[in-house]
Amino acid sequence: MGRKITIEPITRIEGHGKVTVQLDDDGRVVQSRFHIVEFRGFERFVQGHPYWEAPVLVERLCGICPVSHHLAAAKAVDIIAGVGPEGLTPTAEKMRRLMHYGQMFQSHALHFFHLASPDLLFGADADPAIRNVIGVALMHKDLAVQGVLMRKFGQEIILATAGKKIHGTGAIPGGINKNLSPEERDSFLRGPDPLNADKMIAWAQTAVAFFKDFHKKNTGLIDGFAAFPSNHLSLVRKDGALDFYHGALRAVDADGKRILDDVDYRDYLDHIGEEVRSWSYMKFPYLRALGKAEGWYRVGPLARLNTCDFIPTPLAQKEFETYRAYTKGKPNNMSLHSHWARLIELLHSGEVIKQLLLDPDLQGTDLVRKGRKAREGVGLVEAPRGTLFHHYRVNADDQITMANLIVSTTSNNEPMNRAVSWVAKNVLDRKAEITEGMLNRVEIAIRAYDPCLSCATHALGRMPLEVALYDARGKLISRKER
Amino acid sequence: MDQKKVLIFGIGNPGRGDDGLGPELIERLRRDPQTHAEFPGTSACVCEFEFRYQLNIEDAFAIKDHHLVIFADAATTGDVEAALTEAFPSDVIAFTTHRMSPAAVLALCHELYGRTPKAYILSIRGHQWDIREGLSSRAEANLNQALDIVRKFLDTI
Repeated sequence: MGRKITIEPITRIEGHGKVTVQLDDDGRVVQSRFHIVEFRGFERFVQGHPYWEAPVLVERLCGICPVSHHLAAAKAVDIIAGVGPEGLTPTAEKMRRLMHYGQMFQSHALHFFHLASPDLLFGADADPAIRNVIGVALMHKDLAVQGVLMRKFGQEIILATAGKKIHGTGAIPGGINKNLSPEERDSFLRGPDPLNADKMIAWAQTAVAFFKDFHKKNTGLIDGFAAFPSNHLSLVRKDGALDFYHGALRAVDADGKRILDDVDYRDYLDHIGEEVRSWSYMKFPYLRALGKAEGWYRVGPLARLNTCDFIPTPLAQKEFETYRAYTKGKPNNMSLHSHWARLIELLHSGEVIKQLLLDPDLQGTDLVRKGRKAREGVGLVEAPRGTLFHHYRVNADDQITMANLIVSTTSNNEPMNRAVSWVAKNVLDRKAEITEGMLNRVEIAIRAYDPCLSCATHALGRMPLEVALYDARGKLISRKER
Repeated sequence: MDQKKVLIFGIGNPGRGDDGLGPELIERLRRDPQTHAEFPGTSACVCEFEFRYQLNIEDAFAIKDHHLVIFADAATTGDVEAALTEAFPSDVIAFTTHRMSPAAVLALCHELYGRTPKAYILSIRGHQWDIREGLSSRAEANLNQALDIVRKFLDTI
């Protein structure tokens, strides 16, 4: 009798998901799937609202990455308000950049210290009671303290730029509603140790060094686990630099050949399609140039460091050169190298935050521009988890009539399924006993993508947690609910 | 007067109906003279309020210097409209990063900073969780009970 193994919920990722592995009578994996069980509804919710409310409304999508949605929506409504992507005042753009890089910094710090480090420090077979951030605090206190304070620093940057840590109102159509006061600037540049930019950069360097050391001692695991070729997509700056806030679309294949290059993201629908599959509420985006079967792609830190040519801050660029040299200049297709890439981005974010804090434009008073209104706007940013698309249409009364969002986790839907399949075939196949460690390896594969399932399914709040086991004929054998 | 520092978290998403109970509670308390921080000399405690979609690791830092912490959040099950129960750090943590539990935040605070404040969970029963803003009428009634509970509790400090 075949067995279906279900892991639900996946611990330590935002939102909830269900993993189902179907075995045949010989214990061989015949199918594995990563299911999203919640329903999308936010795009309908925003319809009828005036467009200028979009940047604040969309923050309700997610309490983990509201700033990303705020800024992507703001970029879209800038266009509706008549201000093109490059038309903001210097103060407005740099305030938004500071907000965004603050968000990146705290999000990447959270992921590494809270989500990834327990697995790396304790191993997939460790007692679950220890394999969490409390365990990290017990055994590696300095690491846990740094994680907490790096989160706090990033959150304070968001507070200073957006007005609030959550539901910030900083970005408005055509600009920003506040600048950074000299007192705010100085608190971040010269605050008492450790809450200042220089200490944050130093800690980010320590985190990169930690991972590189771990990689040296565990090369087989980090290189081999859930490694598979894929396409990669992100925004890159016009000159090929890594840029989280603005750029053009670039996609490369597993060998580095460019599939898209220098594409205006306002034309994204010409290049990206979304496939619906019956067994998941989350869609499956793909590059139209390659079709549904071959056009799936990764987004996020691994993808960004595959598509960009260089990183425009010195310390992160140095780490990037080491990182790129490891694959001899070719794209990196190893899922767990996402952690390495993420930490390089953490370092880059710290450096950019310091650069921006030293820029007097942040104290400028020219905050908003206006122009000739349009009926449609598209805004993209590189969110911590990957490329984030916001697209709105409005009617003559300025009400939103259409909203389309492609969140990063949706783009990574197929890659996460591939990662789960890899683990299923290499770890679960033909095993006499399924251990907790095996199941945790499935989750490790998914956590490398840092998915935010709340965003992907536009769900937030309570969901019933269900574990279900089915026989080969689909009959329910066992079920637990929390 | 030696005032006690109280931190009250309002936890939830105001865009999901009654999940906004926690945030709405702290908004009303902010406007309440009993808890108004501008009158610290007239009260045995000075209250701070923090809104959270969910608790996270940095909240271990946020609570470390307070005497008392209250975590106010909507409940999806149970018959009790509103209840205040004491919370303790827990060694056995099973959580997702969608939110950390109050027990996990307390445990992390203890491990990192060597102490934990006295802590309580204020559970307020909600009934509707759709994507919309505003509380249901039943939740509104439960919120009033919860406000009464908190005010009476702060009076005992």
